[in-house]
Amino acid sequence: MKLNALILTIAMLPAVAAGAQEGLSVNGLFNGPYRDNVHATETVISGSGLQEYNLSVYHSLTLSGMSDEVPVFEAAVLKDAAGALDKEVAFRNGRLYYGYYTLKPMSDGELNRYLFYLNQHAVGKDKLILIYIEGKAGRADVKKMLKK
Amino acid sequence: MNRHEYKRQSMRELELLAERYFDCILDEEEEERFLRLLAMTDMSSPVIDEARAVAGYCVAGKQRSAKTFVPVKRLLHVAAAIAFIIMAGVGYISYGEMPEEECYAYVGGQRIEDDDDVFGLMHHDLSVLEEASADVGLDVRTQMQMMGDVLETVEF
Repeated sequence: MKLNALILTIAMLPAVAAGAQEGLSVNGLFNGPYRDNVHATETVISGSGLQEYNLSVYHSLTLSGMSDEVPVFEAAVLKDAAGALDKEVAFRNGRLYYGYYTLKPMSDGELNRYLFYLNQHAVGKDKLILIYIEGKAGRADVKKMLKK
Repeated sequence: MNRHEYKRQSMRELELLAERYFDCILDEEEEERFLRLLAMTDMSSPVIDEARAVAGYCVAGKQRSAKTFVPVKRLLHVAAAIAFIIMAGVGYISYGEMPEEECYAYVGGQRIEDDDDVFGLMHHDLSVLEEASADVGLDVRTQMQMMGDVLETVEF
């Protein structure tokens, strides 16, 4: 019985998922601060539901009409983007308007990580969107996913 | 109970002990009693004869006890555990860390767990981003076109 329990415990260790955004500044924005906010939408998807996109994690945060949060989001994104392998960005009216970043992979090098940022306040609209994506999909595949 | 019934009952009991001996679930005292009975009786059946052969092998002096005769059930348990570990390892290697299955959203403070609704939110986010991406791409192409037009007018 004890041997069976030990074998099962060892087998389950790889299945314990570590925090996907660990080590990123944007991690402080996800998983809690805005979940009770009536102007916020936070979406979390992970696992087999994302297999058709060749992804394993999708985590997004959308704030409506909360322009005061822009500096907080922008600072976190720019900090994480500093070491990005690839980036596609646009500034409007002195602010980061759009950012698509390919971050360094996880420490094991197996999964790619991407960050999307959109600040519509910079063009007179009211949405602030932050998306973290993780998976085996390449950069081009992720861009195609936007069009689906 | 007559002699024949007594002998049949005893044989059945001995066969039950033999099966438990092969499954390695006899304690020391039971095993000693079983081996003693085997040695004293002349009863014979396929199960009893096999037990007698195994016990004889043990008595012959090899340092192998009945408890090292790995029973089939235990082998199946170990095989299942090994298969599970291999499957977990294959999953880990092929997919990296296996993510938890999660699908939920918080909308205005309310938790939503309907898969269709959650994926709908995802697609909405992505479509807003795609529109912005397309605008940025258009801006870049427009600027490149403008630069191209200017360069055409420059004399070198």
